[in-house]
Amino acid sequence: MGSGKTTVLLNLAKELKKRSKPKIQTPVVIIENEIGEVSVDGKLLGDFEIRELFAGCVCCTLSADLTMNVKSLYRQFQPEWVIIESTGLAYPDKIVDAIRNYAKECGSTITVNVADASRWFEIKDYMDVFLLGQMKTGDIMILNKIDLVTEDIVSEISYELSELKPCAQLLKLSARDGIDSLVELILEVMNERS
Amino acid sequence: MNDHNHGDHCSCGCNEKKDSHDRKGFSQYYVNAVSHDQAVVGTYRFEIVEHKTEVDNSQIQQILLEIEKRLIDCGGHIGHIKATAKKVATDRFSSTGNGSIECLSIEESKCTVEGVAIVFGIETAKFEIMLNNILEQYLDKSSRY
Repeated sequence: MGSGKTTVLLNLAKELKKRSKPKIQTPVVIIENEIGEVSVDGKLLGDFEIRELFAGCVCCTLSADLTMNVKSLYRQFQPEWVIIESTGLAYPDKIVDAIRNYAKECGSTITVNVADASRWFEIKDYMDVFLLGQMKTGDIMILNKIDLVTEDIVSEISYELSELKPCAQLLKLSARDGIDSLVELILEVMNERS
Repeated sequence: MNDHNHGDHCSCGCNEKKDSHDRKGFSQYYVNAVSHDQAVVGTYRFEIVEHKTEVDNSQIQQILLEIEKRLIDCGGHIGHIKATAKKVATDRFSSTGNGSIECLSIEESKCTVEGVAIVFGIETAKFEIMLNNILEQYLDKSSRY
């Protein structure tokens, strides 16, 4: 929540679109999930084909809507990438399970979790089980907003994240300044998986 | 209260919560809070009328900061509070009566604000009341219908 997911997503979508195969008309489509009843983040994504799912969470209450939309977007656009931005309250592993079980024709998945370096300790203080449960499910962990904290704090959080899931790739960055390292890593992981 | 059929126009007060979304007298006003897992999710929508060309963001920022302050004051925790503002229209009048057309622009911008607040450590009903109280305090009379 407030970790910069939408900034990461927007930069990622632009970069993936730029690097996509020329013959694909709609290379990137986005599913935007809002836990509230109104669209906020979706308004920032106007350049892309987007589906918005409101008033629930795609990992639980809107799981069926999610898989239906993934399949529908896949059929309609044959995109190279479907990017799903979940709410900050979602458990990513449940989303991946739903897609693998009910939309498996859509291909490989990769999970990117975004943590806020500037609020890591504050959030961990009152909802540690939830936060750590979310973070340990990712293939890639981004420690975002590192420009707002000291190097010592970045090191401390990085250590905690590495301990949570040693096999996950950890990127430390400030998404506002660019996410080239994330794009390269995603392409590398997806190449391996396909 | 439970022994009769409740309807939209029921006067017993059983549908007071439903009415509370738009009873404040503000145009486009809507506030609702629900719980989700350990979080409370508040949704709000209201309209600001600004008597100038551009809508001023400071009022929206003040509202968000006030939500944050009051929540922390009562022991709650912020997940994320966000809002989006959309300028709706500047009224323009056109009239004719003597063969010529007269156009008049009125410098009144309407701005619809929509937002979501994800918070922790507060009861759902209490948070909804808090949102209503803050919006009632900050939205001036020009935003009432």
